[in-house]
Amino acid sequence: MTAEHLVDAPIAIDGLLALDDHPGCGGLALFAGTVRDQHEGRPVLRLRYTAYRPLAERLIREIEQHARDRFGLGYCRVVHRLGMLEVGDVAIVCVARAPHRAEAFAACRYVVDEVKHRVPVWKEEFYADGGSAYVSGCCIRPDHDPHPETQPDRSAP
Amino acid sequence: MLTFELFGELSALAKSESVALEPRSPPVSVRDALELLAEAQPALGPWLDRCAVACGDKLLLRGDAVPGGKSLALLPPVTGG
Repeated sequence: MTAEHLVDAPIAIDGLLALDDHPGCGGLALFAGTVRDQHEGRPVLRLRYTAYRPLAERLIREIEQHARDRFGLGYCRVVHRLGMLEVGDVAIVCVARAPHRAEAFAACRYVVDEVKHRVPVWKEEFYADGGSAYVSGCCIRPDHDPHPETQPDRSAP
Repeated sequence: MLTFELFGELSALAKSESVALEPRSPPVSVRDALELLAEAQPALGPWLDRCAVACGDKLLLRGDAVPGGKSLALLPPVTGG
């Protein structure tokens, strides 16, 4: 059974550590991202995460596999929570286990950065003043040209 | 029928999680489909250049053919983690 990477309930961190397995791994790095109470100086009450699940699940699996290959990990697992989260709730967990701590730390940072920049998940913030807004993010369009003004003018005679 | 699933800011702008169009002739490419969407939903137009388009678990390029009978997911810039 394929383990889910997107969940709608509080993340059970203990179950992700896989401490009973991987005896060759001496380093375990754990990152947990939590909801904080402000964004760019504006007080935040809660967040809502949504996702496009088919692509998000596939990309997270690929990021985990790539991290295992790149950093020589014995184990890598990412889970992202969706739905409404309150301040202090855990939104994302990454566990990386390697023979030594250097690779575990590096892999954990790499994986979280990749998830933040590539996976179709969106964050909507709800503010103390009653407003709400989607946080601006990273374009994942594979054929996006960030500098269209540098392209040659093909309309010129 | 051409159906778009909307995510993030797009669903807020359209006030809906999906948009269904019935074009006179089916769009050949993803680019054509997005032009039809921009005509039908002008509020989404300024966003479309920075949106990825997916069908199932695959990202599509603007020049790709529109998969028959399936909806297209419009994915604005992402903010997970």
